[in-house]
This record gives sequence, C-alpha cells and structure tokens, in this order.
Amino acid sequence: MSAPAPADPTGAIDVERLMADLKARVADRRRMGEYDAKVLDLPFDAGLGPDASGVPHVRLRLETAYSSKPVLGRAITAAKRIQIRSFFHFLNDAVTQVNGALASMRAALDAETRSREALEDRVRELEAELDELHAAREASEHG
Amino acid sequence: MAAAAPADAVTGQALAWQDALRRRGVGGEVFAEHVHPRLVGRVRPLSDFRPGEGPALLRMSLWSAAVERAVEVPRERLGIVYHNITPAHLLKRTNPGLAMLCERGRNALPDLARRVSVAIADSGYNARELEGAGFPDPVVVPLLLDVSAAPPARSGEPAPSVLTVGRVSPSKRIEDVVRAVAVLRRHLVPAARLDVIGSWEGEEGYRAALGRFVSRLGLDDAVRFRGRVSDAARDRAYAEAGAYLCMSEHEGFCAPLVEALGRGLPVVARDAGAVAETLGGAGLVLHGRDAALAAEALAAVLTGPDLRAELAARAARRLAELAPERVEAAMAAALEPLL
Repeated sequence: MSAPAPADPTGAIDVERLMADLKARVADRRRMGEYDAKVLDLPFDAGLGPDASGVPHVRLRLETAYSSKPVLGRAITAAKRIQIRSFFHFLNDAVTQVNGALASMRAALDAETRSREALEDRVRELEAELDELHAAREASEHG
Repeated sequence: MAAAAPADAVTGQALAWQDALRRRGVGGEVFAEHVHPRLVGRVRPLSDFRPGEGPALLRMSLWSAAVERAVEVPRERLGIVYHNITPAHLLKRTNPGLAMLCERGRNALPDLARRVSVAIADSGYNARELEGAGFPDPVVVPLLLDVSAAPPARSGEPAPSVLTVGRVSPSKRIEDVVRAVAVLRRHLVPAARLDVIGSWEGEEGYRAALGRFVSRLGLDDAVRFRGRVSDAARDRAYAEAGAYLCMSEHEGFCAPLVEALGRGLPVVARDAGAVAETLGGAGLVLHGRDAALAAEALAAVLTGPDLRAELAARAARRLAELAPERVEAAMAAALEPLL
C-alpha cells in the first residue's frame, strides 16, 4: 500500500504534510478497530535485571570515593580510599552475600514472571474462544 | 574517556579526532579507563595519562575515573566534549550500576563547568544542556563521521527489511521498534522483518525480555538480534535494508541516523533529544511512541518510490552539512584556544 504523496508546486513531496496525513489515517483506522489490539496493547515487561549469569550485580566501586572539593579534594579522596581498602575483606564478603541473595530472588521472580505471562496468554486464548462462541450464538439467533 | 570499545560511538569519535588532529600536525593520544582487548595499542590505559603533559580533552558520556584524572589538568589546558549522558531513570531498572555512573556524571557537570576552558557539544541539544549546567558559550561540533556526501542511488523495490543500530538498552526502546514491525507485518507489509544490530553487554535482562516479547508477538522468524558486528557487516546491513527505524527515548546525536543517510537508507525516527536536529529534515520524524504511526511511516517509505527519492535528495543536502571536511574545520576552530 502506498502512502499519499502530497507535492508542492516544484514537485517535491511535503514531508510534514505527509506525516500529518499518516497521523490522520492512523486515527481513522484506530477508530474503526482495524489494528490488532493484541499487538498494540501487549505489555512489555523489561525484566528484573541481568540474568543470573555469574556477572556480579553489586560490586565495590572505588571510583565513587572521590571528592571534587577545591584544595582538600585530593586528600579527602585518598582518605576515603584508604578507609575502603582497610575494610575490603569485610565489605567484599557482604557484597558476595548480597549477590547470592539477589540471584535467588531473581530466579524466584523470573519464575513468577514466566508463570504470569503464561496465564495472560491463556486468558487471551480463552477470551478469543469466548468471542467466537458469542459470534456463533449471534449468528445462529439471527439465522 | 571512560571506556574504549569497538563499534562504540564515543570511541569512534575519539579515534576520528585523533586522526584528524594528526593530519593537521597535532599529535595526540587517546586514554581510557577500560580498554577493550581489540583496541590495546590504539588506546592507552588511563594509568599512562600524565595531566601535566599538554592540553587534554575529556569525552564525557558518564562518570568514570577519567573525570578525576582530567580535572588535574590546569583549567586553561582542559576542554570537554559532551556526548550527553543517558538519564539515569531510563537505566535504573535493568542496569543500576550504569545508572548510578550516569547520575553521578550529570551531577558532576556544574563542577566541571568551572574546570574547563573549552566546552564542545556534538549537537545544539547537548550544548543547551551544557549551558544549563553552567558552561559558558559551548561550541557545537557535530560528530565526525565517514559518510559520503553523495549516498549511493538505490534502484528497484527495496527489501521489506527494517534495520535499527545501537546499543540494546532500555533507553533505545527496542520494544517499540519490535512492536512497530509487528504492526507493519500484520497490516501493511506481511513480509517485513527486522534486524537489530548492537551489543547488549550489561543489559542481558533487557535482551531476554525482548526475546520473550518477540516470541509473544509471534515474530521469532522475523526478528534477528545480531549483537555487535564488524563495521563491514554493519555496512552490509545498511545496504541491504529497506528502511531504518529509531524509537529511542534519548539521543545526544545518534550517529546511526547519519550512517543510514550516508548509505541511502530512508529513516523513520522518533523525535527525542537531538534526533530531529541530527536528521535536519532528511527523514520522517514521529512525535511519540505510537507503533501504528511508526508502521505506517515505514510502509510509506518501503512502498513509495517518490517519497524515497525525496528523502534521498534531503539526505544529500544534510550530508553536505555534515561533510567530514566541514566538521574537521569546526573542530579545529573549537580547539584553537587549547592548542
């Protein structure tokens, strides 16, 4: 199907007008229910975060221990980093535990998401069957 | 800069500027906190950087240790090239670590404004953000891209194939691209298919969600996620596609739009950030995320030879404005106070 190609007197297509025409066409088609609502309205679930693939999700970031204060900035940065390093093993253990807990929670939530999506798909199938049954009943009543 | 990786726009710019400056007799090295193995030798590790050795340019796209090192350079010898920073809220859900670095990068801008003497933005949109952060008189220098001013003429019917290029990240709204192609197939061009080129490293959860979405739309045979590919494979994809679609939520410039124009590929893109400015009238611009409108616009370019010819003429004009020699001249003028 080719879109209308409005042209100005020089023969060039008025792209802005073309877009306005397309917008009006979409509005008309939408009003008439021509677009598949299942495609337009299917929810997108962006997921819960990276897959549990061994990539650490929480890690110590030494680069955040930075101060931009004039004059004292460098000394503050150095002091912060020394503090972090002195607690490294303790902090790293906490990070490992948090990552383990996150992986377990993610697995549980992913299973929940898959289950919910399967249920949503089933609901759509049942709604479609119901629509067909209604249509068949109406046809038999009028026939 | 924060990280150097193949097929990364910021890395590409750093290397292109280095080449351009060397052609002008100005030396220069590229330093990055993280260097991809394939770029070792071409890009040096940040630990080699010596703040007192000469003028320096900080390429800013997120927070990194490179920012810390750059501010050790005296103000009169430091410049910033601002590629924009993705708003953290667009990344927080799937990549909280990156979101944090983006947020921290944005928060650092007012401080950086006092520490640089030259501020360069690759679009007017980015320049306005710099002004808002307190940078006086930022200069716009568009991305330096190797695109021909005369895109190859395309003859015959285009393939019913849609292409999108860029990092597979929530801010790019790849789900909107997929939905638009689903509408296109269902109602307008049944043979339509989609190629997605770009890395999803660090966004594995989002990529998995896109895979589920594609399956639920029944598009498993029509959508390909190709990951990061070589420049040659990417150029082949531009040459073979029938239309380019960008539904990104946020762009500071969007190099793939210009690459598509340069390969004679008609572009349909959502107006977000600098997108309309980058296209400069050479594509169909959508306002909002309406998948039906995106599909109709794609159908218009795939099935309308007159429209394709008009867009090609506009693309040639826009590419002339972005010609490498013009951008190089703008770059040299912008850097003059530092050199």
